[in-house]
Amino acid sequence: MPVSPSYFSRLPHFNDSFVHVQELNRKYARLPTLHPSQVERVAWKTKDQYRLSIGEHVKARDYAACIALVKRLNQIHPDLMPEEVKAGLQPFKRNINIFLNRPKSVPIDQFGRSHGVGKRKSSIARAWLVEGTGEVLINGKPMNEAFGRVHDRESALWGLKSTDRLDKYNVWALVGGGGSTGQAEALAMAIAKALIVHEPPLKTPLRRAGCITRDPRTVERKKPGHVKARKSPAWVKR
Amino acid sequence: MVAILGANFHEKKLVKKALESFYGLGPQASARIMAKYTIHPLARMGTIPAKTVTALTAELSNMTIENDARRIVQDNIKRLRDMATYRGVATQWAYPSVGNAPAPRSRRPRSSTP
Amino acid sequence: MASINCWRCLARPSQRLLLAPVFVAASAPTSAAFSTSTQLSAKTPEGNTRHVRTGKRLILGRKKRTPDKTKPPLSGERKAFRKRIQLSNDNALQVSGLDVLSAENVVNPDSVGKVFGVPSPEVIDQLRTCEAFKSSQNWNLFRSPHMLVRKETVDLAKQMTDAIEKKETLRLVITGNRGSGKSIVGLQALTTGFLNKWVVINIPEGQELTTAATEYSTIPNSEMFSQPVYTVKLMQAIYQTNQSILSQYKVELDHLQLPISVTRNMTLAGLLNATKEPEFSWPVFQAFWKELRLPGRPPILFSLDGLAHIMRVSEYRSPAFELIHSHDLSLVRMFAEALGGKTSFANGAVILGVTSKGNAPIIPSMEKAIAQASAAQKGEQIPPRDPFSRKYDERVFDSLRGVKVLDVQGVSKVEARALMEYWAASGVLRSRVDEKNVSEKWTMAGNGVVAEMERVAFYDLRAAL
Repeated sequence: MPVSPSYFSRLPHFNDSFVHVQELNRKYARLPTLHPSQVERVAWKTKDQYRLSIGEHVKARDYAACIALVKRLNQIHPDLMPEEVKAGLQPFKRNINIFLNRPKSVPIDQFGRSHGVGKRKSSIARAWLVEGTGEVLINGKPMNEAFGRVHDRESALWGLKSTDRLDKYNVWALVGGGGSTGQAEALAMAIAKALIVHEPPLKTPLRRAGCITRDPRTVERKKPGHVKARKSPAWVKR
Repeated sequence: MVAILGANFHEKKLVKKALESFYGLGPQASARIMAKYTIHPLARMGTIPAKTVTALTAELSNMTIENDARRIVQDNIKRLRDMATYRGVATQWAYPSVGNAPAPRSRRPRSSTP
Repeated sequence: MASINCWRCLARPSQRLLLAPVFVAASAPTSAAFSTSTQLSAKTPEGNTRHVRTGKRLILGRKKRTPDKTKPPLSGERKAFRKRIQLSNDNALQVSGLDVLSAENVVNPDSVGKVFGVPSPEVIDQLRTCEAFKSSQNWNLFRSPHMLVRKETVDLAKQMTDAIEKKETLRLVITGNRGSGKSIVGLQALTTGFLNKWVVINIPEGQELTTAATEYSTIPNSEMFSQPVYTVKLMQAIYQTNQSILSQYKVELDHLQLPISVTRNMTLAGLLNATKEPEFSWPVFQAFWKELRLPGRPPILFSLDGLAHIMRVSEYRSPAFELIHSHDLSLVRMFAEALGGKTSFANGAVILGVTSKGNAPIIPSMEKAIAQASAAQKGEQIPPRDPFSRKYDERVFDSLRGVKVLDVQGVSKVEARALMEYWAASGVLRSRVDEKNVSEKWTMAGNGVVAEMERVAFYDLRAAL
């Protein structure tokens, strides 16, 4: 005699869970709930992840119906959440909760410096920001020696410029790798990251200015049988 | 016009170029001659004093240049040819004679598939 | 085409390329940016709706070559065009309310951070004759020559006047980063000299003497070489610039060995102008130099730009086909001995060596000597020489022994502001000059390097043209 009544169905595990969730929903429908915006965020398994975890081909429609009930159950006030419900929701949760991940914050050090790292193409830049009067030293050199093009100088300090902080901070930076464009834009990212440590509310304006997002474009690799990444050899007769 | 060793040169002509126009006088020899008479490398024929011009003519007349220098080269070739050496024959037929590579033929097309 | 200026829009420069290009150049005719009248009066080209495609276009068939019918420029014309110095521009606005530089206010600490006009026409003419203006400096953007008096200027002027009052010799080398305004500080020193009625001798380019581009000849009974044509040119320049002072003094010594007859009732100006024969120039110039250093004569300002070029082996060759050291050239040796303190001046003198960072050779001995002099001046520990280096030249160390060093760095923000206000008043700079803008340009220019300030400030202008 099978343990579960759904042993001979196509999706025994899912059916069991679904029925259980429906029962729980019926049982605890009257418990007070929180507004969805106040519920702590949980990383639910997606349909594919769920299929993979139980090894059954769950239909998308069924899973959607089930997960809606699960989310409804999760809204129960945490103080009144029965153990039974917690156990019942467990199969639908991912092993880790990505929403608890927080980026490690680098604090301002004892000298008042904040540190940021930026990358672009194959350049890496590290920048330290101190409150000051707008002096910039890059690899120990002043701005005009570090970047010959005015355009590069402008793009390197774009984060400070767009937020009107150019004369409020001193920058000391180390840049390496790549060419001048890459270095300048890596520096823009590094300076923006360091600026956020000093003034966290500037994150959104800096993101709009395009200084936070790492530009993913890099040189495409060369492929065998090609002259360059995509160029084919010229056709030769015989 | 300034005359050196019977050849006339324009006043704007560089002294260095004028000296090197003689067969058998190269950059080394011309630089040495000019240093001897303290003529700077960018000097032009018009700017050097007449005294130096005559001194240059006298200097050049004592050197093996022009026909003397040509004759030496021709004699050397003639000697090789008379002995019927490879170098002599090759020079006669305008073939490579001093170890230089023969003229390349057109390159074989490389097939894209091995 | 790269973006014209990334600060015009809210995108990062690299992403700006993804945006639609802005056609600035299409409507702007090529004219001076001072005037908007030509732009306003210019009619928009007909057929605006015509599909205009930018970028490369495929051209099929042979390009038709039309032979250039215009005459090529005459000989020497190209060089004259390249070297020409334009000190005034009618399109620029007249800046009113600026003082004119004088002997008093150049030493006044209150004038730091102000822009002064160069007294015209006499001092401008003198400066032009001694080739103190350079074609690389943008004098042609303004109505009349003006200069920013900075901390270093007042400092140098004060040192010069103090030394000359005490009848001492000030031997000084001006150093600094590229584009930091060393030559302009040298120009301001020359101006001070002219304003104070000193005898000013200026060698505008050290490399003209050592790159083997001018005549040279041996000096009998001496290991030195003279440069007759250049000496004549220099004598004429000294004569023209200092005529009023030199004509007050008479020749006092007997010059029997000179190839020209020099009498006692000849003035020093007359002595300079006595010969234009290159052959006789060096003995006469030597006699003039001897006369000038007698007691009771006016003070001397001897200046040379491009110091590194005269601190190396020159490109001249001796009759034995050996390279001649620059210090074996008589004029250069005269300057080097004066700078090294071997020459005594009875009436006070300023010997000024201006280094240059553009097209200058790297001379390890000169750099070390200047570093040592600079450390000695600050009272720091003197950096020792590299014991394993073979590149040191003892003659260079001799010629720079005990010199003072004036390090010219970037301008302060106050000075930068004065400069930008002057540009704005001249109509070159169209943006507003406020604290934010000045500070921004100052940062962009590597903490106020003047040449870079100019480049950054006019960057928008140049890009639009």
